Amino acid sequence: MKRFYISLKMIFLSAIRNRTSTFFNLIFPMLLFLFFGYIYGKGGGYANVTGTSFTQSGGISEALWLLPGIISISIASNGIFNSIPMITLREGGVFRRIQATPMPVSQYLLARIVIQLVIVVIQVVLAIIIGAIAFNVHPAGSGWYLDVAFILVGAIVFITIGQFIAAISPRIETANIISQFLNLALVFLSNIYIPFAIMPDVIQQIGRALPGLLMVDVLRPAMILGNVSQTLNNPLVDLAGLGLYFIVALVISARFFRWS
Amino acid sequence: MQNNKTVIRIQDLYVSYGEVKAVKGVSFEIYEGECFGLLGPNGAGKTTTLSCLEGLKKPDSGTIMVEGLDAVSDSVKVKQMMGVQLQDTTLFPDLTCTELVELYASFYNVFLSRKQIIAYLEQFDLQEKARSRAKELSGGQRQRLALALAVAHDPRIVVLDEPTTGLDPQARRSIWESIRHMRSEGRTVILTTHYMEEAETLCRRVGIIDHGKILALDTPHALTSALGEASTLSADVELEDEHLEKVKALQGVSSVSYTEGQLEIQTTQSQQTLADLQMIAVSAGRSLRNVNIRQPNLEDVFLSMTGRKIRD
Repeated sequence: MKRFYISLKMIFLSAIRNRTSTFFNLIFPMLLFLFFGYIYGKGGGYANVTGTSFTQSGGISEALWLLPGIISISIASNGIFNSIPMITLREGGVFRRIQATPMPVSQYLLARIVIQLVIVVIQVVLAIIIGAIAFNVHPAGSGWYLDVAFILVGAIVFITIGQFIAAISPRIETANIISQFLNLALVFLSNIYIPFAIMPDVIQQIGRALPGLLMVDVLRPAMILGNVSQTLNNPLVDLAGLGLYFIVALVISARFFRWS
Repeated sequence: MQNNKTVIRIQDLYVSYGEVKAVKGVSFEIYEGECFGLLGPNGAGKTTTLSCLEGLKKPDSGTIMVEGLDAVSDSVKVKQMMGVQLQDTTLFPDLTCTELVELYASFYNVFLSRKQIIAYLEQFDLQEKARSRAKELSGGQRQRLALALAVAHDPRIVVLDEPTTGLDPQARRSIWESIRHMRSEGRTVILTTHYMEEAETLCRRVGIIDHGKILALDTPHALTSALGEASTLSADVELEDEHLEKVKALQGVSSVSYTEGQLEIQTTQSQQTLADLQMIAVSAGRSLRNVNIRQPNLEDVFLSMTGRKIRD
Protein backbone atom coordinates (compact mmCIF):
# COMPACT_ATOMS: atom_id res chain seq x y z
CA MET A 1 0.00 0.00 0.00
CA LYS A 2 2.80 2.36 0.87
CA ARG A 3 4.48 1.65 -2.45
CA PHE A 4 1.22 2.44 -4.26
CA TYR A 5 1.06 5.72 -2.38
CA ILE A 6 4.62 6.61 -3.43
CA SER A 7 3.77 5.83 -7.07
CA LEU A 8 0.68 8.05 -6.78
CA LYS A 9 2.73 10.87 -5.30
CA MET A 10 5.43 10.69 -7.98
CA ILE A 11 2.95 10.46 -10.86
CA PHE A 12 1.08 13.46 -9.49
CA LEU A 13 4.30 15.47 -9.09
CA SER A 14 5.33 14.56 -12.65
CA ALA A 15 1.92 15.58 -13.96
CA ILE A 16 1.77 18.99 -12.33
CA ARG A 17 5.42 19.77 -13.10
CA ASN A 18 4.90 19.08 -16.80
CA ARG A 19 4.06 22.56 -18.06
CA THR A 20 2.48 21.47 -21.32
CA SER A 21 0.01 19.08 -19.75
CA THR A 22 -0.74 21.44 -16.86
CA PHE A 23 -1.45 24.23 -19.32
CA PHE A 24 -3.71 22.21 -21.57
CA ASN A 25 -5.45 20.30 -18.77
CA LEU A 26 -5.96 23.03 -16.23
CA ILE A 27 -5.25 26.50 -17.54
CA PHE A 28 -6.32 26.56 -21.18
CA PRO A 29 -9.90 25.28 -20.63
CA MET A 30 -10.42 27.85 -17.90
CA LEU A 31 -9.16 30.65 -20.15
CA LEU A 32 -11.62 29.50 -22.79
CA PHE A 33 -14.34 29.49 -20.16
CA LEU A 34 -13.55 33.10 -19.25
CA PHE A 35 -13.30 34.10 -22.90
CA PHE A 36 -16.49 32.50 -24.18
CA GLY A 37 -18.39 33.25 -21.02
CA TYR A 38 -17.50 36.91 -21.52
CA ILE A 39 -18.29 37.22 -25.23
CA TYR A 40 -21.48 35.19 -25.11
CA GLY A 41 -22.51 37.04 -21.99
CA LYS A 42 -22.21 40.27 -23.96
CA GLY A 43 -25.58 39.47 -25.49
CA GLY A 44 -24.54 37.02 -28.14
CA GLY A 45 -27.45 35.08 -26.81
CA TYR A 46 -25.71 31.76 -27.28
CA ALA A 47 -28.17 29.97 -25.08
CA ASN A 48 -30.94 31.27 -27.30
CA VAL A 49 -29.70 29.45 -30.37
CA THR A 50 -29.07 26.13 -28.76
CA GLY A 51 -32.23 24.63 -30.08
CA THR A 52 -33.19 23.36 -26.67
CA SER A 53 -35.67 24.85 -24.32
CA PHE A 54 -33.24 25.73 -21.53
CA THR A 55 -33.88 29.39 -22.13
CA GLN A 56 -37.59 28.98 -22.31
CA SER A 57 -37.56 27.33 -18.94
CA GLY A 58 -36.59 30.53 -17.26
CA GLY A 59 -33.64 31.94 -19.17
CA ILE A 60 -30.28 30.75 -17.98
CA SER A 61 -26.99 32.58 -18.12
CA GLU A 62 -24.63 31.74 -20.97
CA ALA A 63 -21.84 31.04 -18.53
CA LEU A 64 -23.97 28.47 -16.76
CA TRP A 65 -24.71 26.90 -20.13
CA LEU A 66 -20.95 26.77 -20.82
CA LEU A 67 -19.89 25.33 -17.46
CA PRO A 68 -20.78 21.64 -18.08
CA GLY A 69 -19.30 21.90 -21.56
CA ILE A 70 -16.01 23.27 -20.23
CA ILE A 71 -15.92 20.47 -17.69
CA SER A 72 -16.65 17.86 -20.37
CA ILE A 73 -14.09 19.12 -22.85
CA SER A 74 -11.40 19.37 -20.12
CA ILE A 75 -12.09 15.82 -19.10
CA ALA A 76 -12.01 14.71 -22.72
CA SER A 77 -8.62 16.26 -23.44
CA ASN A 78 -7.19 15.02 -20.12
CA GLY A 79 -8.03 11.49 -21.21
CA ILE A 80 -7.21 11.77 -24.89
CA PHE A 81 -3.84 13.48 -24.50
CA ASN A 82 -2.69 10.97 -21.90
CA SER A 83 -1.86 8.84 -24.95
CA ILE A 84 1.28 10.96 -25.43
CA PRO A 85 3.00 10.31 -22.05
CA MET A 86 1.89 6.67 -22.26
CA ILE A 87 3.87 6.27 -25.48
CA THR A 88 6.79 8.29 -24.11
CA LEU A 89 6.98 5.89 -21.17
CA ARG A 90 6.63 2.88 -23.45
CA GLU A 91 9.25 4.05 -25.94
CA GLY A 92 11.58 5.24 -23.19
CA GLY A 93 11.60 1.77 -21.67
CA VAL A 94 10.10 2.95 -18.37
CA PHE A 95 7.48 0.20 -18.27
CA ARG A 96 10.18 -2.34 -19.09
CA ARG A 97 12.30 -0.97 -16.29
CA ILE A 98 9.40 -1.39 -13.86
CA GLN A 99 8.85 -4.92 -15.15
CA ALA A 100 12.38 -5.74 -13.98
CA THR A 101 11.26 -4.93 -10.41
CA PRO A 102 8.94 -7.00 -8.24
CA MET A 103 6.15 -4.43 -8.55
CA PRO A 104 3.53 -5.39 -11.15
CA VAL A 105 3.59 -2.74 -13.84
CA SER A 106 -0.21 -2.91 -13.93
CA GLN A 107 -0.13 -1.40 -10.43
CA TYR A 108 1.81 1.53 -11.82
CA LEU A 109 -0.74 1.91 -14.62
CA LEU A 110 -3.55 1.86 -12.07
CA ALA A 111 -1.79 4.63 -10.14
CA ARG A 112 -1.63 6.68 -13.34
CA ILE A 113 -5.38 6.26 -13.82
CA VAL A 114 -6.08 7.31 -10.23
CA ILE A 115 -4.01 10.45 -10.77
CA GLN A 116 -5.91 11.21 -13.97
CA LEU A 117 -9.11 11.05 -11.93
CA VAL A 118 -7.55 13.39 -9.37
CA ILE A 119 -6.81 15.82 -12.20
CA VAL A 120 -10.44 15.52 -13.32
CA VAL A 121 -11.53 16.52 -9.81
CA ILE A 122 -9.22 19.54 -9.95
CA GLN A 123 -10.62 20.48 -13.38
CA VAL A 124 -14.21 20.28 -12.12
CA VAL A 125 -13.50 22.25 -8.96
CA LEU A 126 -11.58 24.92 -10.89
CA ALA A 127 -14.38 25.30 -13.45
CA ILE A 128 -17.03 25.61 -10.75
CA ILE A 129 -14.96 28.15 -8.81
CA ILE A 130 -14.32 30.25 -11.91
CA GLY A 131 -17.98 30.09 -12.87
CA ALA A 132 -18.96 31.28 -9.40
CA ILE A 133 -16.38 34.05 -9.15
CA ALA A 134 -16.32 35.38 -12.71
CA PHE A 135 -19.92 34.84 -13.75
CA ASN A 136 -21.79 34.23 -10.51
CA VAL A 137 -23.24 30.98 -11.84
CA HIS A 138 -23.84 27.89 -9.73
CA PRO A 139 -24.78 24.37 -10.73
CA ALA A 140 -28.12 23.12 -9.50
CA GLY A 141 -27.39 21.40 -6.24
CA SER A 142 -30.30 19.05 -6.49
CA GLY A 143 -28.78 16.76 -9.10
CA TRP A 144 -25.28 16.53 -7.63
CA TYR A 145 -25.26 12.74 -7.66
CA LEU A 146 -26.07 12.82 -11.38
CA ASP A 147 -23.22 15.31 -11.89
CA VAL A 148 -20.78 13.05 -10.04
CA ALA A 149 -21.96 9.96 -11.90
CA PHE A 150 -21.77 11.54 -15.37
CA ILE A 151 -18.39 13.13 -14.66
CA LEU A 152 -17.04 9.80 -13.46
CA VAL A 153 -18.48 7.95 -16.46
CA GLY A 154 -17.10 10.54 -18.87
CA ALA A 155 -13.68 10.54 -17.19
CA ILE A 156 -13.41 6.76 -17.40
CA VAL A 157 -14.54 6.71 -21.02
CA PHE A 158 -12.00 9.35 -22.08
CA ILE A 159 -9.16 7.81 -20.04
CA THR A 160 -9.89 4.54 -21.85
CA ILE A 161 -9.96 6.32 -25.21
CA GLY A 162 -6.52 7.77 -24.38
CA GLN A 163 -5.24 4.26 -23.63
CA PHE A 164 -6.80 3.10 -26.87
CA ILE A 165 -4.96 5.77 -28.87
CA ALA A 166 -1.67 4.85 -27.16
CA ALA A 167 -2.23 1.16 -27.85
CA ILE A 168 -2.96 1.51 -31.56
CA SER A 169 -0.29 4.14 -32.26
CA PRO A 170 3.06 2.69 -33.29
CA ARG A 171 4.81 5.97 -32.65
CA ILE A 172 4.30 9.17 -30.70
CA GLU A 173 3.68 11.16 -33.89
CA THR A 174 0.74 8.94 -34.76
CA ALA A 175 -0.78 9.38 -31.32
CA ASN A 176 -0.26 13.11 -31.56
CA ILE A 177 -2.15 13.35 -34.84
CA ILE A 178 -5.03 11.14 -33.67
CA SER A 179 -5.32 12.97 -30.34
CA GLN A 180 -5.23 16.43 -31.90
CA PHE A 181 -7.76 15.48 -34.53
CA LEU A 182 -10.17 13.86 -32.09
CA ASN A 183 -9.84 16.70 -29.61
CA LEU A 184 -10.50 19.27 -32.30
CA ALA A 185 -13.54 17.35 -33.53
CA LEU A 186 -14.89 17.30 -29.97
CA VAL A 187 -14.22 21.01 -29.48
CA PHE A 188 -16.21 21.87 -32.61
CA LEU A 189 -18.90 19.23 -32.61
CA SER A 190 -19.90 18.80 -28.96
CA ASN A 191 -22.33 21.69 -28.75
CA ILE A 192 -20.04 23.55 -26.37
CA TYR A 193 -18.31 26.56 -27.89
CA ILE A 194 -20.15 26.56 -31.20
CA PRO A 195 -23.96 26.44 -31.16
CA PHE A 196 -25.13 23.16 -32.57
CA ALA A 197 -28.21 24.62 -34.19
CA ILE A 198 -26.23 26.59 -36.77
CA MET A 199 -24.50 23.46 -38.07
CA PRO A 200 -25.60 21.56 -41.17
CA ASP A 201 -27.77 18.58 -40.41
CA VAL A 202 -25.18 15.97 -41.38
CA ILE A 203 -22.58 17.54 -39.09
CA GLN A 204 -25.10 17.52 -36.28
CA GLN A 205 -25.66 13.82 -36.85
CA ILE A 206 -21.91 13.17 -36.60
CA GLY A 207 -21.60 15.32 -33.50
CA ARG A 208 -24.44 13.49 -31.80
CA ALA A 209 -22.53 10.24 -32.13
CA LEU A 210 -19.26 11.57 -30.71
CA PRO A 211 -18.40 10.92 -27.06
CA GLY A 212 -17.98 14.62 -26.28
CA LEU A 213 -21.59 15.41 -27.05
CA LEU A 214 -22.84 12.23 -25.42
CA MET A 215 -21.24 13.41 -22.18
CA VAL A 216 -22.27 17.06 -22.40
CA ASP A 217 -25.78 16.08 -23.38
CA VAL A 218 -26.47 14.46 -20.02
CA LEU A 219 -24.11 16.49 -17.85
CA ARG A 220 -25.53 19.82 -18.96
CA PRO A 221 -29.15 19.33 -17.81
CA ALA A 222 -27.86 17.52 -14.72
CA MET A 223 -25.72 20.47 -13.70
CA ILE A 224 -28.18 23.18 -14.73
CA LEU A 225 -31.56 21.67 -13.97
CA GLY A 226 -30.70 18.80 -11.68
CA ASN A 227 -32.26 16.23 -14.00
CA VAL A 228 -31.81 14.72 -17.47
CA SER A 229 -34.57 16.44 -19.35
CA GLN A 230 -34.08 18.49 -22.52
CA THR A 231 -31.28 16.43 -24.00
CA LEU A 232 -30.60 16.26 -27.74
CA ASN A 233 -30.41 12.47 -27.73
CA ASN A 234 -32.41 10.21 -25.50
CA PRO A 235 -30.30 10.20 -22.27
CA LEU A 236 -30.26 6.43 -22.31
CA VAL A 237 -28.82 6.58 -25.81
CA ASP A 238 -26.15 8.98 -24.51
CA LEU A 239 -25.17 6.61 -21.73
CA ALA A 240 -25.33 3.54 -23.93
CA GLY A 241 -23.16 5.33 -26.48
CA LEU A 242 -20.58 6.17 -23.83
CA GLY A 243 -20.69 2.55 -22.68
CA LEU A 244 -20.10 1.40 -26.22
CA TYR A 245 -17.11 3.72 -26.64
CA PHE A 246 -15.73 2.41 -23.37
CA ILE A 247 -16.10 -1.26 -24.31
CA VAL A 248 -14.73 -0.89 -27.83
CA ALA A 249 -11.77 1.21 -26.66
CA LEU A 250 -11.07 -1.18 -23.80
CA VAL A 251 -11.21 -4.33 -25.93
CA ILE A 252 -9.02 -2.88 -28.68
CA SER A 253 -6.47 -1.44 -26.25
CA ALA A 254 -6.28 -4.74 -24.38
CA ARG A 255 -5.66 -6.44 -27.71
CA PHE A 256 -2.91 -4.10 -28.91
CA PHE A 257 -1.44 -2.89 -25.63
CA ARG A 258 2.34 -3.24 -25.33
CA TRP A 259 4.52 -2.45 -22.35
CA SER A 260 7.57 -1.93 -24.55
CA MET B 1 35.42 -11.46 -0.73
CA GLN B 2 35.72 -13.86 -3.60
CA ASN B 3 34.81 -17.48 -3.29
CA ASN B 4 33.31 -19.97 -5.64
CA LYS B 5 29.81 -20.13 -4.27
CA THR B 6 27.53 -20.04 -7.31
CA VAL B 7 24.93 -17.27 -7.19
CA ILE B 8 23.63 -17.45 -10.74
CA ARG B 9 23.62 -20.53 -12.93
CA ILE B 10 22.51 -20.26 -16.54
CA GLN B 11 22.21 -23.54 -18.41
CA ASP B 12 21.58 -24.24 -22.09
CA LEU B 13 19.76 -20.99 -22.66
CA TYR B 14 18.03 -20.68 -26.02
CA VAL B 15 16.11 -17.50 -26.86
CA SER B 16 14.58 -16.33 -30.10
CA TYR B 17 12.68 -13.32 -31.37
CA GLY B 18 10.32 -14.76 -33.93
CA GLU B 19 12.52 -16.45 -36.48
CA VAL B 20 15.72 -14.90 -35.20
CA LYS B 21 17.65 -17.05 -32.78
CA ALA B 22 19.38 -14.56 -30.51
CA VAL B 23 20.86 -16.92 -27.93
CA LYS B 24 21.90 -20.43 -28.91
CA GLY B 25 22.86 -22.56 -25.95
CA VAL B 26 24.49 -20.22 -23.47
CA SER B 27 25.67 -21.67 -20.15
CA PHE B 28 27.71 -20.05 -17.41
CA GLU B 29 27.89 -19.57 -13.68
CA ILE B 30 28.48 -16.47 -11.65
CA TYR B 31 30.15 -16.66 -8.26
CA GLU B 32 29.34 -14.68 -5.19
CA GLY B 33 31.04 -11.32 -4.93
CA GLU B 34 32.65 -11.36 -8.34
CA CYS B 35 32.24 -9.00 -11.23
CA PHE B 36 31.38 -11.03 -14.29
CA GLY B 37 31.43 -9.53 -17.78
CA LEU B 38 29.80 -10.59 -20.99
CA LEU B 39 31.94 -9.16 -23.75
CA GLY B 40 30.87 -9.15 -27.35
CA PRO B 41 29.81 -7.03 -30.30
CA ASN B 42 26.34 -5.54 -30.77
CA GLY B 43 23.80 -8.22 -31.55
CA ALA B 44 25.88 -10.97 -29.94
CA GLY B 45 23.12 -11.91 -27.50
CA LYS B 46 24.38 -10.10 -24.40
CA THR B 47 21.28 -8.04 -23.73
CA THR B 48 18.97 -10.95 -24.55
CA THR B 49 20.77 -13.16 -22.02
CA LEU B 50 20.41 -10.46 -19.37
CA SER B 51 16.75 -9.87 -20.28
CA CYS B 52 16.03 -13.49 -19.37
CA LEU B 53 17.90 -13.11 -16.10
CA GLU B 54 15.94 -9.92 -15.35
CA GLY B 55 12.64 -11.67 -16.04
CA LEU B 56 11.87 -9.49 -19.05
CA LYS B 57 12.08 -12.22 -21.67
CA LYS B 58 11.06 -15.85 -21.47
CA PRO B 59 13.66 -18.25 -22.81
CA ASP B 60 12.64 -20.88 -25.37
CA SER B 61 14.47 -23.43 -23.29
CA GLY B 62 17.16 -23.68 -20.65
CA THR B 63 17.21 -22.71 -17.01
CA ILE B 64 18.30 -19.70 -15.03
CA MET B 65 18.74 -20.25 -11.31
CA VAL B 66 19.45 -17.35 -8.98
CA GLU B 67 20.36 -18.31 -5.41
CA GLY B 68 18.59 -21.61 -6.02
CA LEU B 69 15.40 -19.98 -7.35
CA ASP B 70 14.15 -20.33 -10.91
CA ALA B 71 14.18 -16.93 -12.61
CA VAL B 72 11.10 -17.79 -14.68
CA SER B 73 8.78 -19.49 -12.20
CA ASP B 74 9.97 -17.53 -9.15
CA SER B 75 10.51 -14.29 -10.99
CA VAL B 76 9.14 -11.96 -8.30
CA LYS B 77 11.50 -13.32 -5.65
CA VAL B 78 14.40 -13.28 -8.07
CA LYS B 79 13.64 -9.69 -9.09
CA GLN B 80 13.60 -8.71 -5.42
CA MET B 81 17.21 -9.95 -5.04
CA MET B 82 18.50 -8.11 -8.08
CA GLY B 83 19.11 -4.52 -8.99
CA VAL B 84 19.11 -3.71 -12.68
CA GLN B 85 20.19 -1.02 -15.07
CA LEU B 86 18.78 -1.44 -18.56
CA GLN B 87 20.19 0.01 -21.74
CA ASP B 88 18.86 3.48 -22.64
CA THR B 89 16.14 3.76 -20.04
CA THR B 90 14.51 7.14 -19.86
CA LEU B 91 13.99 8.27 -16.28
CA PHE B 92 10.89 10.22 -15.37
CA PRO B 93 12.14 13.61 -16.59
CA ASP B 94 10.24 15.79 -14.13
CA LEU B 95 11.24 13.98 -10.94
CA THR B 96 14.32 14.91 -8.90
CA CYS B 97 17.16 12.49 -8.14
CA THR B 98 15.91 12.16 -4.56
CA GLU B 99 12.38 11.38 -5.67
CA LEU B 100 13.58 8.85 -8.22
CA VAL B 101 15.61 6.94 -5.63
CA GLU B 102 12.59 6.95 -3.30
CA LEU B 103 10.33 5.74 -6.13
CA TYR B 104 12.60 2.98 -7.43
CA ALA B 105 13.31 1.67 -3.93
CA SER B 106 9.55 1.60 -3.31
CA PHE B 107 9.09 -0.74 -6.29
CA TYR B 108 10.96 -3.25 -4.09
CA ASN B 109 8.93 -2.40 -1.00
CA VAL B 110 11.95 -0.63 0.44
CA PHE B 111 11.16 2.76 1.93
CA LEU B 112 14.12 5.05 2.39
CA SER B 113 14.42 8.05 4.64
CA ARG B 114 15.68 11.30 3.18
CA LYS B 115 18.97 10.74 4.94
CA GLN B 116 19.42 7.31 3.40
CA ILE B 117 18.62 8.67 -0.04
CA ILE B 118 21.22 11.41 0.28
CA ALA B 119 23.75 8.79 1.40
CA TYR B 120 23.02 6.76 -1.71
CA LEU B 121 23.36 9.79 -3.93
CA GLU B 122 26.70 10.61 -2.29
CA GLN B 123 28.03 7.19 -3.23
CA PHE B 124 27.40 8.07 -6.84
CA ASP B 125 28.65 11.63 -6.50
CA LEU B 126 25.20 13.03 -7.10
CA GLN B 127 24.59 14.75 -3.74
CA GLU B 128 24.73 18.18 -5.37
CA LYS B 129 22.12 17.08 -7.86
CA ALA B 130 19.72 15.76 -5.21
CA ARG B 131 17.12 18.39 -6.05
CA SER B 132 17.76 18.51 -9.79
CA ARG B 133 15.26 16.94 -12.12
CA ALA B 134 16.36 13.99 -14.22
CA LYS B 135 16.01 15.99 -17.43
CA GLU B 136 18.60 18.50 -16.16
CA LEU B 137 21.36 15.90 -15.71
CA SER B 138 24.27 15.31 -18.09
CA GLY B 139 24.68 11.94 -19.78
CA GLY B 140 27.23 10.76 -17.23
CA GLN B 141 25.17 11.97 -14.28
CA ARG B 142 22.08 10.29 -15.67
CA GLN B 143 23.97 7.04 -15.99
CA ARG B 144 25.30 7.33 -12.43
CA LEU B 145 21.74 7.91 -11.30
CA ALA B 146 20.67 4.77 -13.19
CA LEU B 147 23.28 2.86 -11.16
CA ALA B 148 22.10 4.49 -7.93
CA LEU B 149 18.55 3.39 -8.75
CA ALA B 150 19.81 -0.15 -9.40
CA VAL B 151 21.15 -0.46 -5.84
CA ALA B 152 18.59 1.72 -4.03
CA HIS B 153 17.00 -1.35 -2.43
CA ASP B 154 20.41 -2.75 -1.45
CA PRO B 155 20.37 -5.88 -3.63
CA ARG B 156 23.03 -8.62 -3.40
CA ILE B 157 23.14 -8.95 -7.20
CA VAL B 158 23.44 -6.10 -9.66
CA VAL B 159 22.83 -6.54 -13.39
CA LEU B 160 24.18 -3.77 -15.61
CA ASP B 161 23.56 -3.70 -19.34
CA GLU B 162 26.24 -1.68 -21.13
CA PRO B 163 26.65 0.76 -18.26
CA THR B 164 29.12 3.01 -20.08
CA THR B 165 27.98 2.90 -23.70
CA GLY B 166 27.87 6.36 -25.20
CA LEU B 167 29.80 8.05 -22.38
CA ASP B 168 33.00 10.05 -22.72
CA PRO B 169 36.17 8.58 -21.15
CA GLN B 170 35.94 10.67 -18.00
CA ALA B 171 32.32 9.75 -17.35
CA ARG B 172 33.20 6.14 -18.10
CA ARG B 173 35.92 6.11 -15.46
CA SER B 174 33.54 7.54 -12.91
CA ILE B 175 31.06 4.74 -13.68
CA TRP B 176 33.90 2.25 -13.23
CA GLU B 177 34.53 3.72 -9.79
CA SER B 178 30.88 3.24 -8.90
CA ILE B 179 30.95 -0.37 -10.07
CA ARG B 180 34.11 -1.06 -8.06
CA HIS B 181 32.36 0.44 -5.07
CA MET B 182 29.40 -1.91 -5.57
CA ARG B 183 31.81 -4.83 -5.54
CA SER B 184 33.59 -3.55 -2.44
CA GLU B 185 30.23 -3.73 -0.70
CA GLY B 186 30.15 -7.41 -1.49
CA ARG B 187 27.60 -7.28 -4.28
CA THR B 188 27.82 -9.67 -7.19
CA VAL B 189 27.96 -7.69 -10.41
CA ILE B 190 27.18 -8.94 -13.89
CA LEU B 191 27.66 -6.53 -16.73
CA THR B 192 27.74 -6.50 -20.50
CA THR B 193 30.08 -4.39 -22.56
CA HIS B 194 31.64 -4.13 -25.96
CA TYR B 195 34.61 -2.27 -24.55
CA MET B 196 37.42 -4.71 -23.92
CA GLU B 197 39.25 -2.28 -21.60
CA GLU B 198 36.15 -2.21 -19.47
CA ALA B 199 35.99 -5.98 -19.21
CA GLU B 200 39.71 -6.16 -18.45
CA THR B 201 39.61 -3.44 -15.81
CA LEU B 202 36.45 -4.41 -13.96
CA CYS B 203 35.80 -8.08 -14.37
CA ARG B 204 37.29 -11.01 -12.53
CA ARG B 205 35.95 -13.32 -15.21
CA VAL B 206 34.81 -12.61 -18.72
CA GLY B 207 32.62 -14.56 -21.10
CA ILE B 208 33.24 -13.77 -24.74
CA ILE B 209 29.98 -14.01 -26.64
CA ASP B 210 29.27 -13.86 -30.36
CA HIS B 211 26.30 -14.93 -32.48
CA GLY B 212 24.44 -16.15 -29.41
CA LYS B 213 27.17 -18.45 -28.16
CA ILE B 214 29.82 -18.21 -25.48
CA LEU B 215 33.14 -18.69 -27.24
CA ALA B 216 35.39 -18.57 -24.19
CA LEU B 217 35.04 -17.93 -20.51
CA ASP B 218 37.83 -17.28 -18.03
CA THR B 219 39.77 -14.57 -16.28
CA PRO B 220 41.02 -11.88 -18.67
CA HIS B 221 44.59 -13.00 -17.91
CA ALA B 222 43.91 -16.64 -18.71
CA LEU B 223 42.11 -15.71 -21.92
CA THR B 224 44.96 -13.58 -23.19
CA SER B 225 47.64 -16.05 -22.05
CA ALA B 226 45.91 -18.73 -24.07
CA LEU B 227 46.90 -16.80 -27.17
CA GLY B 228 50.50 -17.70 -26.38
CA GLU B 229 53.41 -15.43 -25.76
CA ALA B 230 52.99 -13.55 -29.00
CA SER B 231 53.02 -9.79 -28.68
CA THR B 232 52.07 -7.33 -31.35
CA LEU B 233 54.84 -5.07 -32.59
CA SER B 234 53.59 -2.23 -34.71
CA ALA B 235 55.40 0.62 -36.46
CA ASP B 236 54.94 3.15 -39.22
CA VAL B 237 57.64 2.58 -41.83
CA GLU B 238 57.97 2.58 -45.65
CA LEU B 239 59.08 -0.89 -46.76
CA GLU B 240 59.37 -2.69 -50.08
CA ASP B 241 58.35 -6.30 -50.66
CA GLU B 242 61.96 -7.53 -50.38
CA HIS B 243 62.22 -5.98 -46.90
CA LEU B 244 58.95 -7.54 -45.84
CA GLU B 245 60.25 -10.95 -46.87
CA LYS B 246 63.20 -10.42 -44.53
CA VAL B 247 60.87 -9.37 -41.71
CA LYS B 248 58.76 -12.51 -42.18
CA ALA B 249 61.85 -14.64 -41.92
CA LEU B 250 62.90 -13.17 -38.56
CA GLN B 251 63.15 -15.42 -35.53
CA GLY B 252 59.95 -15.62 -33.45
CA VAL B 253 57.76 -13.87 -36.00
CA SER B 254 54.50 -15.69 -36.67
CA SER B 255 52.68 -13.25 -38.91
CA VAL B 256 53.25 -9.91 -40.62
CA SER B 257 50.72 -7.53 -42.03
CA TYR B 258 51.55 -4.37 -43.93
CA THR B 259 49.09 -1.81 -45.22
CA GLU B 260 49.82 1.73 -46.34
CA GLY B 261 52.97 2.19 -44.35
CA GLN B 262 51.67 0.49 -41.21
CA LEU B 263 53.50 -2.64 -40.20
CA GLU B 264 52.10 -5.10 -37.68
CA ILE B 265 54.12 -8.12 -36.56
CA GLN B 266 53.07 -10.96 -34.27
CA THR B 267 56.16 -12.16 -32.46
CA THR B 268 57.10 -14.26 -29.45
CA GLN B 269 60.43 -12.41 -29.11
CA SER B 270 59.41 -8.80 -29.29
CA GLN B 271 62.72 -7.24 -28.16
CA GLN B 272 64.82 -9.28 -30.62
CA THR B 273 62.34 -8.65 -33.42
CA LEU B 274 62.45 -4.92 -32.74
CA ALA B 275 66.26 -4.91 -32.94
CA ASP B 276 66.20 -6.93 -36.18
CA LEU B 277 63.53 -4.72 -37.68
CA GLN B 278 65.58 -1.67 -36.82
CA MET B 279 68.55 -3.20 -38.74
CA ILE B 280 66.41 -3.89 -41.79
CA ALA B 281 65.00 -0.38 -41.76
CA VAL B 282 68.42 1.28 -41.32
CA SER B 283 70.02 -0.76 -44.09
CA ALA B 284 67.14 0.20 -46.37
CA GLY B 285 67.57 3.84 -45.42
CA ARG B 286 64.15 4.03 -43.78
CA SER B 287 63.18 5.07 -40.27
CA LEU B 288 60.70 3.57 -37.80
CA ARG B 289 58.06 5.80 -36.31
CA ASN B 290 55.33 5.24 -33.73
CA VAL B 291 56.83 2.00 -32.56
CA ASN B 292 54.64 0.10 -30.14
CA ILE B 293 54.83 -3.29 -28.46
CA ARG B 294 51.56 -4.52 -27.07
CA GLN B 295 50.77 -7.58 -24.99
CA PRO B 296 47.72 -9.54 -26.18
CA ASN B 297 44.41 -8.22 -24.88
CA LEU B 298 40.80 -9.34 -25.04
CA GLU B 299 40.39 -7.67 -28.41
CA ASP B 300 43.03 -10.05 -29.76
CA VAL B 301 41.27 -12.97 -28.11
CA PHE B 302 38.05 -12.00 -29.87
CA LEU B 303 39.89 -11.44 -33.13
CA SER B 304 41.60 -14.82 -32.95
CA MET B 305 38.30 -16.57 -32.26
CA THR B 306 36.05 -14.83 -34.77
CA GLY B 307 38.40 -13.25 -37.27
CA ARG B 308 36.63 -9.94 -36.57
CA LYS B 309 37.17 -7.01 -34.30
CA ILE B 310 34.59 -6.49 -31.54
CA ARG B 311 33.46 -3.13 -32.84
CA ASP B 312 33.45 -3.95 -36.54
